[in-house]
Amino acid sequence: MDALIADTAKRIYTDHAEDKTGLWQALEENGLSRAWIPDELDGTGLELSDGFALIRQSAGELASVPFAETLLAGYLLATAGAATPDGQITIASSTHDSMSEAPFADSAEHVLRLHQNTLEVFKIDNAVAINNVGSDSLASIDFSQLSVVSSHKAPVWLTQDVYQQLGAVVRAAQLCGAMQYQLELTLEHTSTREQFGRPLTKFQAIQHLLAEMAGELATSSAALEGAIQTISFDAAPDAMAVACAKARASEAADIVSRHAHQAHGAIGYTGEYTLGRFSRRLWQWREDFGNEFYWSKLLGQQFSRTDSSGLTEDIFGAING
Amino acid sequence: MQQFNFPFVATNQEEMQLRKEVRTFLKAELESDGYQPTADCWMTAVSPEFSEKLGAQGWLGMTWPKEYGGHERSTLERLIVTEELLAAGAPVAAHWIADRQTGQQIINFGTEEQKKTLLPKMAAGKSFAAIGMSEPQAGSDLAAVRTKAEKTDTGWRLNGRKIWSTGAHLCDHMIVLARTSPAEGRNRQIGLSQFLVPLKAPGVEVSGIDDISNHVHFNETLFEDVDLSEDALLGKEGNGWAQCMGELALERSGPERFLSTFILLEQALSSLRGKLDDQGLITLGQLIAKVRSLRIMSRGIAHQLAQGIPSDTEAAMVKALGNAFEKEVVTATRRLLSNTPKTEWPAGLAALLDDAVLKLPANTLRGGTTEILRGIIARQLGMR
Repeated sequence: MDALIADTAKRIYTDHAEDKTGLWQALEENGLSRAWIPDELDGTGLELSDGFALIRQSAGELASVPFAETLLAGYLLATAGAATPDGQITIASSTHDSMSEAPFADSAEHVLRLHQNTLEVFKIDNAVAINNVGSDSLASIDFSQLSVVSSHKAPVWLTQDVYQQLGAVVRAAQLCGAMQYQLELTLEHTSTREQFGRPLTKFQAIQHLLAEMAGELATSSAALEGAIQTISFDAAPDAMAVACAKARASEAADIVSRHAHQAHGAIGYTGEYTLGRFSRRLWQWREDFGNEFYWSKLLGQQFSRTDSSGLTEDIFGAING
Repeated sequence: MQQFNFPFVATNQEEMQLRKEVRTFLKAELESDGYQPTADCWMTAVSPEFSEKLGAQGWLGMTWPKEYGGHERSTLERLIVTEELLAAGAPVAAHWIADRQTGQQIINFGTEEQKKTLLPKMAAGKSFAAIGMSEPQAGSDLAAVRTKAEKTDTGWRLNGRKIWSTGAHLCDHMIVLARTSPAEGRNRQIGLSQFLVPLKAPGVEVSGIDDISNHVHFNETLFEDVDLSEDALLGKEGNGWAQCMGELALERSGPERFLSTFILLEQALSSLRGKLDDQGLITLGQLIAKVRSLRIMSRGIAHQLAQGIPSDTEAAMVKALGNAFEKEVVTATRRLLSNTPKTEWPAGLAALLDDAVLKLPANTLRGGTTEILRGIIARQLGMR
């Protein structure tokens, strides 16, 4: 990511650590919440990869705001050539029923869903908060009780499956950001916490936990990059690259959070210490838009299909003729 | 926090053309010569004839300078060829070490004479090389090596023994890590040097060691008053440890660290297509997600090495993850096949599986144990 953008975002998160309203205002004023909206639709027009880097970064911040959802909404509407309303927009996590869940729906102004090939923006006024494994708010929405603010015909390639894939890549980026936060926090804790007269980092058992965490993060990041490369404003992403990214990140989230807690001891399990909040995010996000088992099954289906010419071709690429 | 870098490298057309060439060659070889695809082929499937054929194709010493018999192709092109050879389980063990690390060490540290005489033969698949690092009392603790080289009027005299040298019984040369001056207090990395030792020299005795399946692929090599010429010293006297770490980076960074059991999955899958239940599909999918991710990382390393960016810790990471994946493939294959009676398995699959199981304990040991690799990653994280 452009260092200037990353620094700007970092400064905003630091300056508004205690103030969600001020934070969002600053993100908007600096054009970050409209990163994926092209210039002609009154957005910032950043590269998709820059937006993913911003999403990943935001997931490693304490602030609990629908930054990722708002970016994704801007992208989706842009694919239909439609303008995005100002303010916070969340994304419906299921699109089949009139009842849906959406993160931050109790605070966001709008919610977007893809319904029968149409992107629909609703003003939210009936969200009901739900208790959930995550630490960010989640609410249920009854679309039948909401009025549509605007609706736009989605491009042909933007199917329900693709909608889910895009959500999955966004969550994979967030998972990577939160895993990185946990790795860094665990490194800091084990460097300063002493037992038996020496820092925890000096124990091989602890070193190996962190080495494994770093490995899981790195392989998830690699898979994520593979998926991001296939996303554009005018075509569906590569479903297998997406499946790979979300399967890896969701699976890694389990290992990283488990090791982070193990290395922290009891302090990590408290409500006050920040580790737990990121664990709860990991445990929520790993489920959103399909968990590791869902996506692995899809990969399994694709790579065991009977008309394949073999695993070598499927993994390393088919050659023509 | 120290980051680990795995830049994404997109696939291009030339790459697919090269893949096509290698696949076409392998298919023809399989049909005419009928080599037996094996797991762990780069370690145990020895065929000097096959190595020579690869040399004739220009697929050995690919990145080396042309004046020394190389082909000046990119690190990524070499990666493509090695991926294809491994995926096919081809008999590539004879030349693997010379092509992967010994040749590059000679390019980096050898004399002009050594480059001119040895490299062309290695690139032709006609001369092989072995690794001389471990000793009976120096495994993971490599700096504990006791093999000693002393200066003489004409060069060096080598005494000691090396162990676990794969293929040494077929090789012309071994790069030996030996002590040339005493350690400085606790710093045992001081005073080590690398030597390029002809294994046919008087005083060298190579003897095979049976592995767990009673095959000989690794060896113990005894050096008794072996007289070496001046130029047997590879690189600088006392610089052996650093050179050896560079050699290990070459040794650890390739796709053989996660593709050793790929052939097993490929062959098992041929009988499982369309028959997997949901759990089976998930098991397979988890493997696919891992191998795809590892490939992205591996390509990133190749790209960085081509730019001259040190990637030792990245290589350690891919090896640690990749070795675990290789074992997972075998366990998963057993799970996936558990519903199919052995009588319905395709010909050769049972033998391939047995063979992979027997080879498996070595993969997390050779080239640095998982524990050593995790230590390297922890150091990069700043923990030690």
